[in-house]
Amino acid sequence: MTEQTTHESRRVLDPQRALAFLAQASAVLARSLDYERTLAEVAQLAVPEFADWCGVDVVQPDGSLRQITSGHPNPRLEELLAELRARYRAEKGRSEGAMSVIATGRPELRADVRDAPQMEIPEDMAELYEALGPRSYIIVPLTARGRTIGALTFLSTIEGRHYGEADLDFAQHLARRFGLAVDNARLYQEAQNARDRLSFMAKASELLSASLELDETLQQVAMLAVSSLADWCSIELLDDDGTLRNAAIAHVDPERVQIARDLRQRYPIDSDDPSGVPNVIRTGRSELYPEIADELLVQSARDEEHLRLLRSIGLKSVLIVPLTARGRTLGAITLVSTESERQYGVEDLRFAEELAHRAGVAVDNSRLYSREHNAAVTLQQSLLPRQLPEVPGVEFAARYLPATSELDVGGDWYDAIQLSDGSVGVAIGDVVGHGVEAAAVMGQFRNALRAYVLDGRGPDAAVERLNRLTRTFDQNDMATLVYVVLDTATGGFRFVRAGHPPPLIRDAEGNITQLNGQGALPVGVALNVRYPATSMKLEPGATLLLYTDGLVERRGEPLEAGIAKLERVLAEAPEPLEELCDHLLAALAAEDQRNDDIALLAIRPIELEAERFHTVLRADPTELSRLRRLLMRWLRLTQASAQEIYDITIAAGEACANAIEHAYGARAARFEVEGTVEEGFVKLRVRDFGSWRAPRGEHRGRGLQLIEALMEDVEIERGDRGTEVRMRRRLSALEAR
Amino acid sequence: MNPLARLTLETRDGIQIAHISGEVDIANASTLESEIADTVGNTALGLVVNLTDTDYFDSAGIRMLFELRKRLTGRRQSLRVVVPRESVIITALLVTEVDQIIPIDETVDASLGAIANGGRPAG
Repeated sequence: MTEQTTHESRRVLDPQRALAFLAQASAVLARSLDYERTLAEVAQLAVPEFADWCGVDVVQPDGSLRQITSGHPNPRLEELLAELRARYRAEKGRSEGAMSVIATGRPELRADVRDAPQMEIPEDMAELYEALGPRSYIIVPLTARGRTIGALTFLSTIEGRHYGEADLDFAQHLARRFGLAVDNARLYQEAQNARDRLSFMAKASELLSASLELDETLQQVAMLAVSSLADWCSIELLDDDGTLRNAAIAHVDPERVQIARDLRQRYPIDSDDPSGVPNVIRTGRSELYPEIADELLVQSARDEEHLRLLRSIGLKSVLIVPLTARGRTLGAITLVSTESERQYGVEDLRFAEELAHRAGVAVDNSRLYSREHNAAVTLQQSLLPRQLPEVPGVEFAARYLPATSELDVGGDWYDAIQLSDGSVGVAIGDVVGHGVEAAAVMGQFRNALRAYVLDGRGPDAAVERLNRLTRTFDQNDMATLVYVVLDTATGGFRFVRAGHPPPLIRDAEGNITQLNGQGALPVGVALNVRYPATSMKLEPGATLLLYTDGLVERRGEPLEAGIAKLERVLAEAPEPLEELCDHLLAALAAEDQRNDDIALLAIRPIELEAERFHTVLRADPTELSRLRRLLMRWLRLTQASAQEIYDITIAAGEACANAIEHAYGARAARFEVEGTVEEGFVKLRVRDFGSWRAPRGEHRGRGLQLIEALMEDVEIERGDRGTEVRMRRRLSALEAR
Repeated sequence: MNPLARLTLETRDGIQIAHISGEVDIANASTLESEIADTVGNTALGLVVNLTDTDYFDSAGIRMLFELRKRLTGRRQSLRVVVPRESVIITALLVTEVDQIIPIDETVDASLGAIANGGRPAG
């Protein structure tokens, strides 16, 4: 069924040489299962013994042909041949001869090209064609397992070497052998690809689930893509406001990433573009450009410079797939082949779509996560005290840092509560669990504890009550906590520790003490647990530190090691409380990876000097007891006797009550109390900023009466801007000296 | 404990006793006053305000005592206050001459005896 020729008797290879050649071919082909190498070797094998040039055309999954050629042994001719092929293809489409042989399954033998109906060769190519001097050719189908998988073209350019029937038989024989080898290599390659893709997918899935940081994850995916799928990869996301954002970009050659970035920056994607990324995002359908022709570049370039850049990149093939999750398109992944000359096909498209789908789910999860994370952080922060109370005689500093990674935010709290007897309650706690729910439960714990202590319960009773309350919650909510009631006058405190890391005290010399107290179970674990309180004292200059486990817990390290580290850091922390807190966080809270919330609260009694007492108070009756505590603490430093302390305190209290009355109705009014010890006298000055009202009725008058009876040299100065009461009392201890 | 003062009420031999421990100032005096007044029934012989465990008692407390006295006098019920001699709060009561109007005893028993005795100190 071959074409008729006039050179039937001719043969290029004699039988003996043909057999030797076949043996050699079999040996070469058996060695390699690499598809590309097999194709190249097939093409090379025939040259120059059987042909001067050999082309292997292989049918691609999308029906197109892929050609590997042997090249011509003569470099000058090879150059010409390449040019001829390029022109021929541009003119007529690719490999017409091979195409028809594959289509019909019939071989074609042209013993002498001059016998054939003259091929239409354009003027300007005639010279080239003549120089190449094709004399004879054979095109045979490449078959394997009953299918035509391509074609082999043998070309003779030597004068006098013309193929005959025997050569055609040989060529067909060769083609069957080659066909099998090529097909085996293809199957092997596919199996290899499938394995690669499986392992690629496994790796991608691992990366995608490892972190919930969106851009970081996508960058990893892009890097992975350029390691095996593309020369560069770019991932665009559709933001909530509908704008396109480049979320990741990677190039197989790290030095060229910048070029890719610059290109994206200088020529951002036009969201109205009818094709490319915007179209893929709009339609949710992938785009495959197996081969990027120059026209396409010319078409899509915005200006000369853009075209120059696009050309310099050397685009070979492009694949754009949508990032989808739950039926929504969230963005697109663009895979570009350049240096590798890889040509994307349908199979690559499916593979990329699978990758994009997985990435889409990760993007979606990450967005949900960041929404949840933000909600938990917001809730958490709204449930923590906006500011700590101003309590005379004590200073506070507190910090709360939400967890950064995973769904770990929520549940830690701190609180400081002014109690009506002038003492102050401080709490720190950690609800078991994370997220919005833990933040909400934290709010319940915090408020319940507040209510109980404001109701007048001591630390033991309050925590016991909290425990009973917790047992009535719907779920099994649990929390660890430390609650301390500090007497600001004496520095004495009582505390309860419920399953919580021990508070620390740093004394004035920097020595650290752990407050283990009588530890008890976390609240919410069991009914009727006793939470015994332990009494301690905070000496002047000492600092009490309460914290949650986020500050001391490290993966794979015992808690004790973390606490020991905290002790070391606390010992050398700077003195001012705010700086002390910052120092602790800088040393112990990793910026990038916090797996748990951190809350901390530092309390320190303000040191009083015996020479001078000074405080500013709110004009509110509840401030009086705090003032008394503070004043009594100071008076003790002055060697006043118990009765003197009491009398001076009463007098000060009466003067302050007066000041509070003056300020009645004025919001946020303040008054000031100053005390000094001079010449054996305690001198007090109480100044308010309200307008003077004459004492009304016998009772107000009694206040003044008390002041005058208990103190000496009482002076009251009433001015436009307020009233100042000055008074003094001789101290018997100083008099005796 | 942390409310400024703790009030414990008790009735003995038809006499109401109000034990106040802690501190009394303008922040809590009027609340204490009405809490105490409300417990004194019409049939009670009188009221004893026990300030033995009171650490602080200023003019607001004194005013509370006078207000209580006003209510009780209308019902012909007597009021007595207990302050031990060594208590720091006694000075303030003496310099304002509270004792001239409201009898001050050293012990609850002394007050109870005096009320039962029709206003005269027992014995």
